[in-house]
Amino acid sequence: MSLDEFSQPTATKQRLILVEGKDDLHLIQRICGQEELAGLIEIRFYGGVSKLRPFLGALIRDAGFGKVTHIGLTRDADAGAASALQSLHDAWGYASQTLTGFGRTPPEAFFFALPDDQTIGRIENLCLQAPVFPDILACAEKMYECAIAAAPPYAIDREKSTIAAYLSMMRRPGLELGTGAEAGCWNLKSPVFSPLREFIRSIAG
Amino acid sequence: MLRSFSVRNFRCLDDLELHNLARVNVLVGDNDVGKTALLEALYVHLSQANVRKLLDLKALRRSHIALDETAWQDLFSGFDDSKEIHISSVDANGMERNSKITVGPSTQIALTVPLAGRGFERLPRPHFSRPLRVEYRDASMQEPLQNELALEPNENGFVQKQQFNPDLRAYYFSTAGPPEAESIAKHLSELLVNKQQSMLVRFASVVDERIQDLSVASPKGPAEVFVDLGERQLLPLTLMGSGVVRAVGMASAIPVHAGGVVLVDEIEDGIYYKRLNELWSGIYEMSKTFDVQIIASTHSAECVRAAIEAVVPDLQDGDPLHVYRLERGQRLPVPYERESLGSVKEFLAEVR
Repeated sequence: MSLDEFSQPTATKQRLILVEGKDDLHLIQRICGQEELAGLIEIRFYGGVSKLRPFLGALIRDAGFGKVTHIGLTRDADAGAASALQSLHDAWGYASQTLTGFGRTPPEAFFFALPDDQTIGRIENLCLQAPVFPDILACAEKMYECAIAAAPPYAIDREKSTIAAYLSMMRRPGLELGTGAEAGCWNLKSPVFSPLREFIRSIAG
Repeated sequence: MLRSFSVRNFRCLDDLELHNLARVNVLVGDNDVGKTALLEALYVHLSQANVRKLLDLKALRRSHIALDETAWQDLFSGFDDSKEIHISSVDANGMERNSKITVGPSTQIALTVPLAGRGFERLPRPHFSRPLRVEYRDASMQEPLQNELALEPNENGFVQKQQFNPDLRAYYFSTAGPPEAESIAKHLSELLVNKQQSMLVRFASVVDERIQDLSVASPKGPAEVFVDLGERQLLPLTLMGSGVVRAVGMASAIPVHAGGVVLVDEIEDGIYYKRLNELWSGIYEMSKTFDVQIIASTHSAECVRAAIEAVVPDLQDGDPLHVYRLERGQRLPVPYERESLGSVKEFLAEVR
């Protein structure tokens, strides 16, 4: 991940969503486009849960942050939605306390634990339930099963490998989960994305 | 070292506080948010009741000095000289200092001689003026120091009622051009007498690697600083680039104001961007050696980044650099301290 991608953290819009990585960013940007909210909401990625607190430390001090009125924070629920949400609340709590400490009013905050704010999982789990080409996804799943049957001396991440295999068979090769969203490889109108859409709409107001 | 500072009703600063000051402090922010005004307020405050410094500030800004009742309005926020300017600080030992600046009642001046000097004008008759009054107090004093600057007939302009030399441990570099050659010569002379010039020469060579030595001489009257570039003849410092002159001026002021504060407006002015890291390293090392606090303003993101890279890694001094972003209308600037400066550097966030 290139640090150059962080090089302009100045907020430009009143509504801001922070996501873990580039894949989340591209996918949520695509949803915002479908909801006609792209001009209203800005999305930034913070580079992983361990970087959220220092990222917020830099972000809240930025000159442009004063214009932000609504902020959404998201992360994967690797160990469960409750713990993921708590970590987001904790990170934001520290940041908003810091903001108050130097006399600024924190924006209204919203929190979401991917995939659906309820279950354990990641954004990959949502995509695997909503492929545009389900038959090709079935092939990718068989590829995973074939690889497992070969008993490799290492673990294979089922969701990531299946998604990579699925995307490798798209019209344009070399896609990743997020760029796959932009290329229309995921059915973002699927009901599995409804909780995420509701979260985005709540920030838009 | 100062730990906190507050100012009310001075120029564009209605009410501003700085807390948790470090050894090196950088002020950033948009144009006209009060960075220079803050440095000026600090300088006036640290000058104790040396009210003449307020007149010097006008000269540095090249302000016209009106010889009437409005002479001091530009020092007061909203140009309302019925207000009181309050400046307070607490130092690292917990000592509280307070300055109050007011304008006295109007008095009629019977002028019998014309006034001379830059910025002055001939007075009409009859004429009224109001004195500028400063009161300074700290915990060591039983009574506050009080002073007054008044327009006096039969004198060349303004006269300070009390002449005294406070233990002034503050020096201010404004943006009004390079520091005066005379003051650099004076500072370097002190360093030469105390055999402390080698650090200054090392610092100067960082800004211009050709500089081998600095000396003071008076070939044509007043004392001047000369630079040895390894050529046939020494070069007057005033013929070097303004950045070098400014850097040498800053570095020479630090040892001479040991235990005090050096204030610098637009510290990057005249310095090539690739030299900023070395500039900050040199300033920081000298400030530690001579226990001087640095408070500087900048518009340059490169300058801030250079300060972070040069100063923050010092693990001996737990929190050596703070940056404060002033915002118009906000009493508290946005502070960047060790943890957040690290985040800023990691995320290449802009701090200016």
